Amino acid sequence: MQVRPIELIRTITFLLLGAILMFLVQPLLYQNQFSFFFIGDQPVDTWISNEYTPGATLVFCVTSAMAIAWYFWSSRAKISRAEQVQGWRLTWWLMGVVPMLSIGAAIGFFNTSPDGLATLTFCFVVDVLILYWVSTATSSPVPVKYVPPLSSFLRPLIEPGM
Amino acid sequence: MSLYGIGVGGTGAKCLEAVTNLAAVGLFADLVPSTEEGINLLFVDADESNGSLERAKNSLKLYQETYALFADDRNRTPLIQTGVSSLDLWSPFQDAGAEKQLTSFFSYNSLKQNNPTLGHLFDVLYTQEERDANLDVGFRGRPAIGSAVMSQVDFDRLEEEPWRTLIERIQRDAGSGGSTPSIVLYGSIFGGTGAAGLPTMGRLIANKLEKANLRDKVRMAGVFLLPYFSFTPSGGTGDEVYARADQFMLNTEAALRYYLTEAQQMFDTVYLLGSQALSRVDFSIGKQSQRNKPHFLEVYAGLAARHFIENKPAKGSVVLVSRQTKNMISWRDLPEQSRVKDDLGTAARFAYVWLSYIVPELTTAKSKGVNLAGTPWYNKYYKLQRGWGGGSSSASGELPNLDESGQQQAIDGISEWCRDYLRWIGDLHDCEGETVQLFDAPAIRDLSPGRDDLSILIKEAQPNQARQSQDTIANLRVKLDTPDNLGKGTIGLARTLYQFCHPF
Repeated sequence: MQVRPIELIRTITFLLLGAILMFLVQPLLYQNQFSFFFIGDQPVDTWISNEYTPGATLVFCVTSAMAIAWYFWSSRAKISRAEQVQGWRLTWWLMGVVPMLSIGAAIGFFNTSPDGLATLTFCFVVDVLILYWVSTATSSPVPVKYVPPLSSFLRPLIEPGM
Repeated sequence: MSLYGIGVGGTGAKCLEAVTNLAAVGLFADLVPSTEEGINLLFVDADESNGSLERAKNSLKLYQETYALFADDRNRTPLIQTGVSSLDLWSPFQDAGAEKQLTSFFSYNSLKQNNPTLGHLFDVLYTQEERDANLDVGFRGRPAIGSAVMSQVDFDRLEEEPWRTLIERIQRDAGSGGSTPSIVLYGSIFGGTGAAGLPTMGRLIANKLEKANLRDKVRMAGVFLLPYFSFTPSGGTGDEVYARADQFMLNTEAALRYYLTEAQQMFDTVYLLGSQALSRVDFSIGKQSQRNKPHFLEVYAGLAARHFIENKPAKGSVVLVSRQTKNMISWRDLPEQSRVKDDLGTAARFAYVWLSYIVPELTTAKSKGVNLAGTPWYNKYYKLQRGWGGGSSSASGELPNLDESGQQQAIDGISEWCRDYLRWIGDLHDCEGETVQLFDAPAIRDLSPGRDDLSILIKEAQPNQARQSQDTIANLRVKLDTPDNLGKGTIGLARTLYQFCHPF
């Protein structure tokens, strides 16, 4: 298993950033009715506690699990030829579908506000991008470090010279 | 101190091939000057198209071409760090014209006419077939023919190349003070050219050095190979004069008696190498078909030069080496086994990984575009093309393009050397009647993609199970993706790979 502590730390850092975004920043945006974050068909605090938070928890848990599972699963990768990476690409995309499904589940099962549908979807998609895509693109183990899309662009920004 | 290796005959050429490969892996780097003439090699053979000679010269040529590639900084890797200069080939028939026969060489017809007594003596010493035999294939395994030809060489003149350059370099090295050049003569003493040329060359060089007041400033060794191969002449050659394997022992006995009685003072040290098991080789009169595979005894011969330079055996000392098990050679049987195994093994692993992994990846990158996900180390050595954004290192502007002709030439050059080195390593294991347990020869030769485990390449390499499981190309692929690489481009990639190829 090829685990570099710095990559694990970065992954956890992005998960924490995602948690802060999902459970602090985004609720604040709705509470303050900032810009498009408007809920008019029910009390905002009630919506946040009964509909937003459970949905966000679902999305956060599923997406974090996929990010962590990708990290530990791919750290066992034994890639000795470039063509062997194709299978891992497919794996990454398949694992990325699961958080998207969780967005659908969160919105379908928990959200009842038409006002919040669009913004909630937007927020969750951004959350999944940060929790899954950015974290894996910047912190995947070295054998698969360039498998996530645009990782060859993002990773050097985090690790200049590496 | 500089090393001057003189290989006489086909066996001598094979010994120089071994010296070249030992130099490539760094086994002379600590003993000879780090100049382009740290080692100087001269081939001596009447058969200028001898197959073994051609192969040895080709190995040397590939070495020199690869040596030139690493010119920017030779100290960054032990691979091909030592300068090996070629003094090319000298033939005793250089001035002989088209007629290469004993009769022409000694002006037999004039001799018979002007000095009948000498002419009759000539008839007694050489049969009609020997007198008329065409010697452009060498001395046909007849030391009597060879020594007659060799004795006519006038070394006192030494105006002709390559002897002039050889002596000038020796004079320069001996006169520079602080170092003693070492001359090592290689050859078989049971065949034709070697048996004839070794004592003659040795005596003539020693005499020349004496006259130049250099003899006590130069150390000279002879590495004599006793019978270690045999063959059966194929029927119907249509030629009565050829080497006879059944006479090898007789030739050897006569040659050793000569050294004992006439030439003990000629060499400072004599190394005798032989094997009870005679490897079977294909019969050949000479020329390109005389192309015997490398033998592990030649590795010992190359290591003898290392021993001679490093240990400076006392004059007249006898150096012994033996093996633990009859008919088998393992690392334990080699002198300085740990160092030799490390150096030969690292180079073999490097060559294997270079050919089976690096070259296919670079070929794909060149033809189909680089897949950075599959080749994460690429942007440490080569510039990424536009569209990959910031995938390169911070110094991406300084990295070369893979498509540049210089990079492609470097890839081809290193690949050629790797193929030749692995060919030599593999051939060492083909000694009939002997079990050579140095490398896994079939694995070394199998360069097809898919093999990941490097631990099997070297026999007795990895006692530690945990490390053995990490000794893979997959791990090397990860290690190559390092900011602490040893340079950019193909040369940087090769140097970085080499340092990671050291066996555990």
